[in-house]
Amino acid sequence: MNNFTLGKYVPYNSFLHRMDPRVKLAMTVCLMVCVFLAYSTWSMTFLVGGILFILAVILLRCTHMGIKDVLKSLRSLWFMLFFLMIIYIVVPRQTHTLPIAWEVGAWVVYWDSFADAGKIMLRLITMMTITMTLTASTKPLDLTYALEWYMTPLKPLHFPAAEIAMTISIALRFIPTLLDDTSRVMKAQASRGVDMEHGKLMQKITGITSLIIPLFVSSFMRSEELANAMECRGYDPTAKRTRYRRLKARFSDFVFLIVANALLAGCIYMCVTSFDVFALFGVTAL
Amino acid sequence: MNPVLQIEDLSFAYLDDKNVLNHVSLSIEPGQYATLIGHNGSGKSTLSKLIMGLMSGYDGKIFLFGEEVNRKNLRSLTSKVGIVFQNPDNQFVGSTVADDIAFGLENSCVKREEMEAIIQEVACDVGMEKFLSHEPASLSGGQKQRVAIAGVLAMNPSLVIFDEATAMLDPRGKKEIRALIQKMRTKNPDLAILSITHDIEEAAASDRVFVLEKGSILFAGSPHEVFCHYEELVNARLDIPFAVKMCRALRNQGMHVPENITTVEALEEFLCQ
Amino acid sequence: MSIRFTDVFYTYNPKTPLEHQALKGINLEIVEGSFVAIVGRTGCGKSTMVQHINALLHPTSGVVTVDDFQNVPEKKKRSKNTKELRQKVGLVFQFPEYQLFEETVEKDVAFGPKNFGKTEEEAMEAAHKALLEVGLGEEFFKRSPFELSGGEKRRAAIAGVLAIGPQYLVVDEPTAGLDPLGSKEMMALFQKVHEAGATIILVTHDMALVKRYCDKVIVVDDGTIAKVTTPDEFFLEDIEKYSLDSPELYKLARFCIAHGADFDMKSIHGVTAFSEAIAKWKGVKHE
Repeated sequence: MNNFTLGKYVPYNSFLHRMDPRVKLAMTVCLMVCVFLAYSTWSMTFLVGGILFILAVILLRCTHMGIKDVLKSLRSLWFMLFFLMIIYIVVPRQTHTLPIAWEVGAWVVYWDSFADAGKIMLRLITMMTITMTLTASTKPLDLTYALEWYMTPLKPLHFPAAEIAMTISIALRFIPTLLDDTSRVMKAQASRGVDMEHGKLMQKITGITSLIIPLFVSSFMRSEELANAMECRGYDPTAKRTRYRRLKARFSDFVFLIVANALLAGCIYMCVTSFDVFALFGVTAL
Repeated sequence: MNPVLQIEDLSFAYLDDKNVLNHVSLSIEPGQYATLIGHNGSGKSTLSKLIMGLMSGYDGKIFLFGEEVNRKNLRSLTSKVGIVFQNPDNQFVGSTVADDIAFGLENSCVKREEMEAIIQEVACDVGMEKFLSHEPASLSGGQKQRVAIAGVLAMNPSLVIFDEATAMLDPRGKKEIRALIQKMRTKNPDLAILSITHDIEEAAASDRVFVLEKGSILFAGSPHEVFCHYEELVNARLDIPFAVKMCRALRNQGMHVPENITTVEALEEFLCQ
Repeated sequence: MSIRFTDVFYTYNPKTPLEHQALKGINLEIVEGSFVAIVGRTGCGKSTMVQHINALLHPTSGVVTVDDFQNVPEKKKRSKNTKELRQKVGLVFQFPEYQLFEETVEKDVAFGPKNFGKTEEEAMEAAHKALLEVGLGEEFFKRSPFELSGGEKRRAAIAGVLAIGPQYLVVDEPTAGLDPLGSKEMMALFQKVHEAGATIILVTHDMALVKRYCDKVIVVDDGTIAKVTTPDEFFLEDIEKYSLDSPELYKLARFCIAHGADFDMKSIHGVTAFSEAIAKWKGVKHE
C-alpha cells in the first residue's frame, strides 16, 4: 500500500505547491489536450511531443518528487507498452507514409508501426508525468475544493456540489483512520491463526472475510456516529453555509494560466493548420 | 431563572423492545456541574441522544432553557447545547484542527472574517493553539477530545453534555479533560455541564449526581447524599469513591469524619487539621 | 519454559522520514505461570513489545524466544512454526469486540480453533466451553455477534482467544470502557485462567488492577525496561516519574507521611489497614 506513488502528495514548497489548485487543474487539462492533438507529420508529432514531455518532466522535478518514485510508477507501464508495440508490429497496416522496415514473405512491417507505438508511448508517459505533477504538488483536499469550485455553475441545476465535496473531504480525512482499523483487524485475526500465505483456498477466503466484515461493520458504525455528531453541530446539507477555507488565486497564478492557454492555442493552431516547422526551414519532413 | 435542562417523566423504548428509560425526571440549573452515572446498559447514552433530538418517539417532556422541545424549535434550542461524544475519531469532521473547529461556525453561517478570531480563542482555551494545522491522525485521543470541546465552545453554548467523553482515553487524557472542565467552569460560571460517565471519582467532585439504574433514576442529590447509599450503589454495579470508602472505614475506627467529604482533596484537608 | 527478550531493538518505518525507534534494548524474562503487568505511558513501547511475543512483529535486532520459538530479524534464521506459536500465545487487543465477524457467536469463537487444525466438532466444543467460561450461556451461542451489547461482545471476543487454549495469554487493556463491575468480572475471569495454569501478561494503565491481581510489574519507559518489581515494592515509590498514576490509597498515604504521619507503608495494603494506621496517628481510640 505504501509503494503506490501514482497519487502521492510530496510535502514541499515549490511554486507548483503554492499555486492555486484550480489553476493547476486547468493547466493540467490544457497540457493534456496539447499532448493528444494530431499534428501534420511524424516529425512534428515527435517534436511537439518531445517538447511537451520535457516540459512535463521539468515541472515534475520542480515538485521534488523522487526519480525512484517516478520509475516505480512507470514500472507497471513498461509491460503494457511492450505488449502494445508487439500488436502494432504484427497487425498489418492499411496506409503508410514511411518506408518498409522489413519484409518476411507476406508479412510487411513499415516504420509507421514503430512510429505509432512510439507516439503512444510518448503520449502516455507525458500524460502520466503531468498527472503525477498535479498529485505530487496538490493535496487531495485542495483538489476537492478546486473540483467543487468548478462544479458551482451546476448548483442551480440542483447538482449537490457542496455535499459531494463534503463527502470526499470526510472520506479523505478518514483514510488514515481506516488504514489503522485495517491493520488492527489484520493483527487480531492473524493472532487467531489466519494465515494468508499457506492453507487451502477455503481457509484463505474465510481469512479475507474475517478482515472485510469487521471493517465494513466498523466503517458503518463510524459513519453513524459521525452523522450524529455532525447533526448535533448543526450541519444541514441543504441549508446555506459559510466557508472557512477559501481558495485565493494570486497574480502569478493568472500568469501561469495565461501561458498554459497560449500553449494550448498554439498547439490547436498547429493542429488545425497542419503547420510544419520543418517545411519552413526547407527540410523534408517524414 | 429557568433550568437549562428539565426532563419530566421521560420514557423511551427502541422499537418493540422493553423500556430503555422509565419515567426519568431530572433538572439542571445554570452553572451546575451534574453527573449522570450508571452501569453499561442503564440507558445513559440514550438519554443524551434524546436530549439532542437525534431520536424521537419518547413519552414525557424535555425542556431546554424553559421551552418544551418540539419539532419546530429543536434546532434553535439545541444550537445552545454542545455535546462531546465518546469516540474521539468519530466526531472529528475537519481535515485539520482549525477546519474541525470551524465546522460548527460554518453551519451557523458565521462570517468568514469573524471565524479566525473565534478559532484562535477557543483553541487557546483548550490548549491546542499550536496544533491548528495538524491532521487528526497525528493527534492523541485526549487531544482530539480537546478539539471537540473547542468546537463546542466556539458555538458559545449554555449547556455542554459530555457523553462518556473520557471512556476511551488513557489516564493522562482523562486528567486533561477533567482539568479542562474545571477551566471552562471558571471562565464561564453560568455554563451548565452534564457529564454522563461511570467514572465515580468525577461524580464525587461534581455538584449534583444522578444515578441511573435499569432506566430509572435511583438517587439524585449532592455527591455525599448519594454516596451514603453504599449497598444500593454496589447492587447497581457501581463503585464508591475512594474518599467515601476511607471515611466509612475511619468512622469504623471511631473517628468523627464530617458527612460531606466525598473527594480525596477534602479528606486531605480534614486530615491536616 | 518462558518468554525471553534479549537485546531487542525495534524501529518502525526504517529509512523513511517517519522512522521511529520504539524498542531500545529490551532484556526481559517472563516465567511460565506468572501473572505479570506491563505498564508505562502511552507510546512507551508496550504494544510493540507484546506484538513480538506472537511474532506479529520481528525485532530489528536481538532475539525474542518463546519456549523454543526464536523470533529474529533474519527470516532464514527465524523459527518456521509461527502457527504453533500463535496457538501457544493468545493475544487479545484493546477493544477486541471489533474482530467479531461470523454469523453466530459460536462460529466466531470456533474460528480460532479451526484455524489451528481442530475439526468442526472439536472447534465447536472448545467454543462452547470458552463461552461458558466467559459467562455467556447457551442462549448466546446461536445469536449474531452484532446483536450483543458492548460488554457481551468483548466477552465473546475474549472467548474466541481462550478457545484456542493458549499457555500464554496477553491482554491489552481488557477493562477499557467497562463499568466497575464489568471490570471486576473480567479480571476474575483472567484469574481463573491463571489458576488453570496459564501465564497472564496484562498490559494496562489501571494501577488498581496491577495492585490487586499481578505478582510482578514490568515498567516500560521510552522503549526500555525501567523497572521489574513486585506491586508492593512498586507502589512504595512515587511512580509519577513514569507518567503513571499511583492508586489513591498510596497517594493519600504519602500525603499523610508528608504531614507528619509515621506509617509503615508495607503494612498499608487495603482501606481497613490504612484506616487503622490513620486512627493510630490521630490518636483516636477504637471504641
